[in-house]
Amino acid sequence: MVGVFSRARRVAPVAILVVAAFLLPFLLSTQQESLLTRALIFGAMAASLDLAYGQAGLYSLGHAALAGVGGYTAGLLMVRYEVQSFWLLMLAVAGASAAASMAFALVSLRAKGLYFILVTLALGQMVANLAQQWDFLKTAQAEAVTGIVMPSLGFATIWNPGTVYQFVLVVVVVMLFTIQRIIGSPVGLALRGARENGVRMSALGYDVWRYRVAAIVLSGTLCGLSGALFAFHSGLIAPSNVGVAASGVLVLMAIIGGSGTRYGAFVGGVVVTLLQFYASEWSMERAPMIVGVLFILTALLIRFRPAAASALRGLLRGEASHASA
Amino acid sequence: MPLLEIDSVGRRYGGVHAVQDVSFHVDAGEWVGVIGPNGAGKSTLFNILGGQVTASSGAVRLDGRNVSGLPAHQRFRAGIARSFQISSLFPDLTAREQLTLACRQTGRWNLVRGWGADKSLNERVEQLLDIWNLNRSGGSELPAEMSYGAQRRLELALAVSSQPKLLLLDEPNVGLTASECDDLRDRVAELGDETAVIFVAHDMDMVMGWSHRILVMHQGRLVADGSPEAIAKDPFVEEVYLGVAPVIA
Repeated sequence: MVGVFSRARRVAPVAILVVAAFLLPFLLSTQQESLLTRALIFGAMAASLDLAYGQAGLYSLGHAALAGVGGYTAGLLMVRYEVQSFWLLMLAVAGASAAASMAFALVSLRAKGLYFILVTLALGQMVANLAQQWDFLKTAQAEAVTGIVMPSLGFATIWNPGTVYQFVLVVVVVMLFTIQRIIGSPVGLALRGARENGVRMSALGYDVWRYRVAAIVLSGTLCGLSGALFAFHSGLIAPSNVGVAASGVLVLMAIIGGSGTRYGAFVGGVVVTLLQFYASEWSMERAPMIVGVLFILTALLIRFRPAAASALRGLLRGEASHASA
Repeated sequence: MPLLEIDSVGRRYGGVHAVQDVSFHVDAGEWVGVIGPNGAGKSTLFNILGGQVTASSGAVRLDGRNVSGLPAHQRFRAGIARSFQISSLFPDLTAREQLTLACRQTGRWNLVRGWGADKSLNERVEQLLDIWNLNRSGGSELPAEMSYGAQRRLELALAVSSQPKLLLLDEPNVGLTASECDDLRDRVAELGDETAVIFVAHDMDMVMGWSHRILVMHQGRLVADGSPEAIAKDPFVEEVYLGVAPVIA
């Protein structure tokens, strides 16, 4: 009984937050709804990346490519083959992203340390180049897949910025719940063990390589699903969405929010997306510089004020230990 | 049949023979001490047995099965567990999390249940925290928050907790008080008569007191293998430890 109350006490604030977020369209303008939708999607993408990056310590610079696999799969199926069902599209996206992530893992995990980072960077750039060069990945004389719309859920749905936001919120909450379950599971603990000390993990009977493959596949699949949401919301998917620069921004989101913590990467994704938008509203040219300054300040905080940085991380990590119970 | 057979094992790094043509066997329940001066090849031998390093030549057999080509995680599953000379812990995991990792033999790929939801596993971890005196703050300390002795105890607890057939302890007494060392011996003895133990130590009282048999290594070779009494009387061993042993051709 005590356990039920304790769980309810933990879940209640999150539930209240989700319900409040669900009701936000009543207070927001159309533009703000769209911006928040985008922020949620990038939050989910950064949280997905962080499964590999923060939890398993695999510093990938190619995850935007895996999100791109999801976006392109959804877009092409919808535009070229007229698949409209959200459920079918997401199934196909999950399959394609998982397969691409597996290939990505099998190649990149042959290298270690800095070489791993370079291989992921190269793989990401290859996917971006493929998207640029291959005509199959372009529609209607554009350099992108255009004409993507919100899919059908199988029942009457009126899509407007408010309902799109609410729908994306529900999907993102499900994705975040899934990520939290993974982090709190034996696999999540083993991923952190592999991040901390691979030699010791092997000496304790864990096949570290397999766990690292699993981290990339899980993370890449979830990134792919986020990529599909991005395509539905933006109406297009382009090579610039999958390149190295896009991967770099995802990493930046995870680090700014607190990589390796429970909700940090998601918060980072939301904050950086909002910051990018408002900075570009103020000055389109200076927006990247503002985000860059934020990144440098975060890095300096971690370097010179580790106590303050770890206190912030501790707030998020405190919840991490609860979820294991 | 012996539990462990080492047959002409060698390991070369370029032109240097870290371990050369080493052969011995260990029976179930036997406690074997490995001694030798620094650079004698003891740690390399341990790494070969644990699977952290692959032998350049020779064979390692456990229960008659050739495990020479198996990676470390499969050696562990075959029944070989080890501790490390320099504590090899998980800096960002609590003592409880580390022991959970060490004890979890089933359900490792479970993605649904929380890692702390297995009651019997929790009881085992709780027991280990008590036994190894690591339950200050309920096992929530990170290694950096522990004393050096506590870190060493955690290091040993990780190795012992899997109840292996063969336990390799690399300088287990380092950082432990005399009474903690005695406790360690009791903990290891609790593994039962079937578990063999190979340990490296420089403390000769400990080596003489713990071992059924002692192996002496020098310049990568096994130069003596005998009972503690025989080794204590061996003039070559005395020379090796005094540092005046001749170079072996």
